[in-house]
Formats: sequence, C-alpha cells, structure tokens
Amino acid sequence: MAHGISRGVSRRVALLAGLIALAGASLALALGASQAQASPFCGGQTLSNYGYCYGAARNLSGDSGYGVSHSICIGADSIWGGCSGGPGQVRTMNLGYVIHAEPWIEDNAAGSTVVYGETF
Amino acid sequence: MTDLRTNAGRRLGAGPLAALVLAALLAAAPGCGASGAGRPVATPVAPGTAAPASGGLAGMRAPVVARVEPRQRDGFALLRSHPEGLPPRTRRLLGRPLFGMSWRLAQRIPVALPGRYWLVPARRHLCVVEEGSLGSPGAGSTCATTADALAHGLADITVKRRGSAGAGAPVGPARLIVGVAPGGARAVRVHTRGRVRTVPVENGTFVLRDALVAPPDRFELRRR
Repeated sequence: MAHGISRGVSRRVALLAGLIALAGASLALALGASQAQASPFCGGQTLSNYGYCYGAARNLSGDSGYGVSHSICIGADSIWGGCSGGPGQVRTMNLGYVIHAEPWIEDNAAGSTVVYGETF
Repeated sequence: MTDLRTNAGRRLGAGPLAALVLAALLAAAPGCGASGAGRPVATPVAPGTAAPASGGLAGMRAPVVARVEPRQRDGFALLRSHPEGLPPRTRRLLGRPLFGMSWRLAQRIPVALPGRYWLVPARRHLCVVEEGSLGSPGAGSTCATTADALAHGLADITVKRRGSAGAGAPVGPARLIVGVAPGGARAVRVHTRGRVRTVPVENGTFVLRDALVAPPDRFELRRR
C-alpha cells in the first residue's frame, strides 16, 4: 500500500519537475525571441568628409552609431534618424516597428573619423 | 522518505530530468543558447571613460542606475528636481535602456515645441531622449559621457531631409536642436560647417530652430 502511494507521488513529482523545466525553457525562448538581436554594421570603418557607410540590408527596428573623432548622423534607407552632437556621443533611433532596410552612418564633418554602428 | 526519493529517482531516470533542467537554465541565462548567439556581451567600462571608446557598442548595455550620480546632479539643475519619468509609450518605443538609463529618473526638458524631450541619467552618461521631434520617425536618444555633457552640453539634433519629413510632418524650420547646458553656461555656440550660431541658455536649456539642413559639428559653451 505504502509502496503504491510512493509510486504515485513520485510520478507527480516527475511530471511537475518536467513541466517546470519545460516552462522555464519556453519562457527563455520567448524572451529571447522578443528581444531584438543586436547586429553590428560599419564597425571600425573610416569615413571622410561627410561620407556615408552602409550596412547590409536586414530586419531592424532601429539603429545606433557613433564617430570616434566627429559627430555622425544615422538612419536606415531613406529614414533619417538624427545626429550626435560631438565625437564619442551615441545617437540612437527607435522606429517602434520592424522594417527591412540598409542602416547607414554619415560622417558629419570635414576630415575623417572611425565609426561604429549597430542595428536592433 | 528515503523510499520516496529513491523511487522518484528510479522512475524518472535522474539523468534525463537533470539534463532537462540544465537545458532550461542554460537557455534562460543571458548570452547562452540559440537566442543569445551573436549578441554582443556587455563590456565593463572603466570609470570616467567613454563607453564606446574601446570600439563597438557593447558598452551601451549596462545595469539600470538606481539614482542620479552626484556629478550629474551638481552639474545640471534639471536633475535636482523631482523626476517626471518617461511615459509608457516612450518607454515602449525605446525598448531596452542604453547605458543603464533610468526611465524613472527622466526629467522633462521644459520647451514649448511639438515634440517632447527628456534629460535621462545613465551610468556615467547622460542622455537626451526625444519623441515626436522634427521629422523624427519614432523616438530617439543621444548619449554622452557625463564629462562630455559637462564640458559641451548635450542636445537632440533633428534635421528634415532625406525623407525624414514624411506625410504629415510639420512644415517649418529644417533644423531643430534642443539641448541642456550645465550650470554656469550662458550661451552655446553651435558650429556647423564653418558657420557659428550663438544660442542663449535659459534655465539650463537651449533651443535652435533654423533653415540649415546640416547638423552641427560640435557645441561650445560660453560661461558666465
């Protein structure tokens, strides 16, 4: 009798543990899917005299960028996402929806600067 | 009790269950598992250094700050008043906070303009966040190190061009600059491709609206 009860309890424990594990895995996957993937572009490229740098087309809901020596402007395709106010400042645009577009960074002064960008 | 544990282990097969639990834990850990593949890992930033100076934007990901840093509060009067916080819609648009920006500590920049602007404290950084600014497609932010913001001020810069002014975009000036300046600044000199415009600082803020379609190269503070 006692053996039968313990077998029933162990089955429930096993089921519960399995469900918890599956729920944890599902939650982790759902969270991962809802967070946009950060994807770099133009990393370390040198731009000169108001030049542009384009990243490969991708799905994005915004992008960020900065110039090491100059202020920069950012955008994606024909969308203009604003500018930083000086070297090292990071400008970010958030569209609030996903598009498939080429992200870009523009050098915002005469002379050259190294730039970094990232889409999300 | 011993019988229960033994039985459970036997019937379950401790190995598969442990593997399942381990897989779930690994998947839940940031940067692990398929969902984290390729995602840059947060890079610790040395105090006082610009996060991006090391190259790349990984330094943007930092824990959210709990309070305004003393240097930020001392430098900007706006940060010494009760914070309004960012509205839910703006928070949703911005998504994950950069540089540990605290949405809760955001201070509305008092300007009478169509868009809305906030000064937001972050980890050794200050950010200006805008929503609905001139030609802005959604929301945007500009972040600088606290040292940089103290030395040059910090501004949101929007310029209407390259399709930024979509249908329904406001008609008017081509360039709009909304910024904050530290205590002691009486004016900001806005340098744009060789031209200089001097803008007065009032209550720690400055606004420039003009017809130039070029963003400024840099800002220079004029102190009292």
